[in-house]
Amino acid sequence: MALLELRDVHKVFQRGWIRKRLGAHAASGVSLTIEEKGILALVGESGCGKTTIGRISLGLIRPTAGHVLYQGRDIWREDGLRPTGQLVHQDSYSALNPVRTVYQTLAAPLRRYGTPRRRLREEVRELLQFVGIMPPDYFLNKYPYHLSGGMRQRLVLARSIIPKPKFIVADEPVSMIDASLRLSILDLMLKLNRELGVAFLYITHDLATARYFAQEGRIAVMYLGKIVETGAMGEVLARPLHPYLRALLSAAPIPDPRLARQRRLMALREAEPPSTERPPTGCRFHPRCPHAQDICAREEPPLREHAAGHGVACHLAETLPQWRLI
Amino acid sequence: MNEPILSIRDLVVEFEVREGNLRSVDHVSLDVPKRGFMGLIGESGCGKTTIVQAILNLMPENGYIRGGRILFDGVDILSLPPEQLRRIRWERIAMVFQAAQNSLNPVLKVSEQMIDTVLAHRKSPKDEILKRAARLLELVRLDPPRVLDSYPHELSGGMKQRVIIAMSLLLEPEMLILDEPTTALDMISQAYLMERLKEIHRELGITMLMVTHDVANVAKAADRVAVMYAAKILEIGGVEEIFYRPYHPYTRGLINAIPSIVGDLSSKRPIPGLPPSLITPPTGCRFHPRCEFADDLCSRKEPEMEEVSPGHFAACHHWKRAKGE
Repeated sequence: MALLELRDVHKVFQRGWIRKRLGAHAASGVSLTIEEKGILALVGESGCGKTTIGRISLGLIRPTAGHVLYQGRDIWREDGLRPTGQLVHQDSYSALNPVRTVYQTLAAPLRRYGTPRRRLREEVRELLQFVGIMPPDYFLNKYPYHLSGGMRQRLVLARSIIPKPKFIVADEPVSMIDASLRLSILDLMLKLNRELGVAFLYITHDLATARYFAQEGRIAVMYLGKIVETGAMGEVLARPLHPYLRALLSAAPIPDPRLARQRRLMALREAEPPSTERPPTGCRFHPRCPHAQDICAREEPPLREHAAGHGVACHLAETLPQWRLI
Repeated sequence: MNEPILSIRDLVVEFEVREGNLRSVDHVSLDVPKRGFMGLIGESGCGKTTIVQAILNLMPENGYIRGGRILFDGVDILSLPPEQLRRIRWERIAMVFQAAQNSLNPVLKVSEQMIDTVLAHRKSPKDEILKRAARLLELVRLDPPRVLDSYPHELSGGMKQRVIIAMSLLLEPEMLILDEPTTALDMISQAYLMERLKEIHRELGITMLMVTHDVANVAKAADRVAVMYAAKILEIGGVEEIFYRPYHPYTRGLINAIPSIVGDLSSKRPIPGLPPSLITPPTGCRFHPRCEFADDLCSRKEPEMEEVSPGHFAACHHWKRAKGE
């Protein structure tokens, strides 16, 4: 059984009274699953609704329609049922209480989750060691502002595993971290996955870190509130189908001068994305898609299985030219 | 390689902060060749933005240029009287700052802002300004009639950034400085903007200096690269030299720490340790506490820039051993 399953989830953020009919469609029929101990990278650009999906997965916001199943049970049907998940977001500074030391930040939740007082110091030390905040004694009495961004994110991760969560929603956890240290935070998350069996929903705009983190896992690509393509990371990146994903891949930075110069950015009919308040009819990508035909403006393509485990929402998936990155 | 149009010599910049003196740029020298596309890469806090602030003497209140010279076309910018410096800014050296899309005036149409920009510097008939603005907007692939008649809020972030770049070219500057031009843009808009910048560089023959933490953008656009770490420039060379034959262990580590959508991931790893504080920087080589090649010498003596191959410079005592294969 899947650990967490979203079934046809919709979320519309209404704003104001008068313009009630106009709302931002953050999710329009999103279905996805996270397996026990699995890794799913949810990739999309700003405003596509990926953060909303993260929050819905944790039961922090209620979807306008659709179901959120945690271990097979609908969390909005059963009173008091909440997923045992944790949220790690981009800004580690705002996630930590600035007037609490490293020790206090970890001791309070440890205490709440049953560590006896006499063992607190030792367990805080072990936890710091585990997440690579070393030497622990040096950091015990430091405040968040004493720590670098990377150290703070380690502390946030240390705190997040105290309730023994089944999964962690990590929303752009490394986008504020220095380039030379990003991998160390992703490696720590992989350690939590391997050693503690914590499943991850990794939310990002960055295909390269998604590929690194979810090498063995799955990817779902989101565009304007919809999942447009999903499957095993290796398969999807080797044979991307949806023109939006192909455009993203053609735009993703490559830290190699020759490859970066050989590759051509896919020519879109519109360089800029449309508004989320009035999403286009039919396929939401059609106004920008270089392959679009009449049907794309008329009918919304369902997410369907193109090959085993590889889903795509494109009418033309079978007729698109073969993909080559370079 | 062309003669440098901009030469920075032994620049020292400090900030006075509560904890003491923070030396953000420490004896930095850099040449930007005429008509070249120079990329200056470094992580946050390494001092790269301070360098561009110093170039136009636009220091924040608590920042002080303590020493060095900045020669633009042979003239020391730092010794110019304010009125002459003002003539260089934007007319000869234009600068696009980080998240510049927010610097457009929200209550004026783009056309009015284009006209104001030119009239602030020279007399010129309005229709000529608009004609030139239209040409530049086309160069950044915007639809001139529509965009000129728009208010900033009617444009997306990527479009606003391209408007700013068109605006920066209005006075036909010889050099364009870009500080993190793609931050806050979506991936596709970023790639699109980088292509436009390359086109501008090619078609107008303008000198570019792009300051960024984004190693991949530099790989794509720059022809020459300087690598900065903890207020020092550690390595300078041609873009392929820097990416395929880096000599400095930091450059090697940085490139190896950036994941990509292609290629092998198993050899990717972060640089161990943390960047140092600039208030109490390490002695000797700034990178030595994180460096696998470090020995006694590195913690004692600061390495000098050496020419490791023609046009390629590195500041490392052990560059012969550390050379990347």
